[in-house]
Amino acid sequence: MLVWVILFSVIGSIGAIAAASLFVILGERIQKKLVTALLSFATGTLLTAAFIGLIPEAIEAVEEPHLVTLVILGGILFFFFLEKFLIWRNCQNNACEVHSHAPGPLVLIGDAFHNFTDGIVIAAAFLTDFNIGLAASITILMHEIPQETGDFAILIHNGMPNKKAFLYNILSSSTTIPSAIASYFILEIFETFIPLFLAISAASFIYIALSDLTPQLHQRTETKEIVKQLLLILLGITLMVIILTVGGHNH
Amino acid sequence: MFFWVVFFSILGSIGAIVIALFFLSFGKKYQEKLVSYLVSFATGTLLAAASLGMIPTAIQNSGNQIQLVMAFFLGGILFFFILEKLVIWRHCHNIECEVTESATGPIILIGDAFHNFVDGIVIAAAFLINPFIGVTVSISVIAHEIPQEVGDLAILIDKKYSKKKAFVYNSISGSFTIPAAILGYFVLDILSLTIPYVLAISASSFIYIALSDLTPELHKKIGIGHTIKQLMLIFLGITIMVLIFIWKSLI
Repeated sequence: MLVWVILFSVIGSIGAIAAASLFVILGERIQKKLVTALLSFATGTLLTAAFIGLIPEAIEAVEEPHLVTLVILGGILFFFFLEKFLIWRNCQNNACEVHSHAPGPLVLIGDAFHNFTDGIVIAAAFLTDFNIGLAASITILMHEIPQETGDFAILIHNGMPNKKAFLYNILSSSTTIPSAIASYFILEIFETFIPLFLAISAASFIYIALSDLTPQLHQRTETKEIVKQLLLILLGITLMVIILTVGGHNH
Repeated sequence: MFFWVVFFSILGSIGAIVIALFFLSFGKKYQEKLVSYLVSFATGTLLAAASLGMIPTAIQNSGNQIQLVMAFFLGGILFFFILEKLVIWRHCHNIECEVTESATGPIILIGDAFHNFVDGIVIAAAFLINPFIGVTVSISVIAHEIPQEVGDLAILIDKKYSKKKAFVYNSISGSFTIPAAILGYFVLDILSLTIPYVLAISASSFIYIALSDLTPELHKKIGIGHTIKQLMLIFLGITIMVLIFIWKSLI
């Protein structure tokens, strides 16, 4: 399982940056379209991975729904707090108020911390079950790509040369990898805590999908855009449901 | 139990409007402060009522159908996403809100009527499952209805409705809670097997409102003073909910 943890933490960090750099190269028009599409798709995968994957898995392991939901509530408050203080704002469009004021280092520190958390999520999910791990990893990749595209845009907007922005962003993002490996070994020893980490992971997925991505999706009100958004959300949900149910892990 | 369902549905609809009207009679400065306090408080009560009360209780009362309950929850989130998109059912608590600015008086009133209808069903389902869940749900409904109705009244008055007309029209649309609660009580009493799933959908409306509507508003205010105030009020909301749950476990 360690191989999968490493593979997916590399894909979820360096892979996401590679995809984001490709987006930057493609030019603003195509980039905007792709990022918007990914935001909808990621909303679907985040919510489904949390509600159909992580939460039921955690409750079944602990056999006490109250404890799991208490940890989820605590997790949501923690992310609220974090977003307030670190201005860790998942702004995926360039016109975002908070982010455009954020200086380069703050963006990179926020990114490093966020990706560190991603590493823990990947490790906890794979230690639970391969399909849960796969679902969590795809979800992380899908929301990291627009996230990293946004980070690039800010760094370049702040006057950083493309190459430097690329290198710094790789450095801050790669925190996923050591964090995933360390978490793998630590959580393997403290196995009883894995369900609680799944609950915190679920809280972060729910928080990102509802507090960060949904308000961005609601900025568009044209019928065509609404239909597109809904189709992509449903596509994200379908993909997750297939991974979570077809993989032979039945409840 | 029926008495309490009727009592709290009146308090959560007409009661909220009367209090909202009272708020409007204060100057703009006090009104804005009170509304922003209530938005923080409501965020805490909504999150705690849903995560510590409704979701675990729904799971337990469904005979541990965890994935099915969570699937209804996910479906509920999608439903409220679509609803917010299509009906422009936007919980704007400040007067300068973009979306409602373009919304006409009738749309506000129709949206309000629909929302309060849902509130009524939520109150009925919660009391039918147990009175403690009922009380926490009712407090959450009142706490988020007051700022909501302040916003609605402000928009209607802004649209050149007289104060009296705005109050009467808003009372009519707001009072949809009451027949919905009575109807919900009798229908759900017969179809008692569906209550856990209705409760799951109700919980999704609470989480959706708290995270997608209220949290972005709370994040508009940055700075230590605001952050501490917000956090304390969120914790106050959570604490009151937790005390009610502790009271339940002592009986």
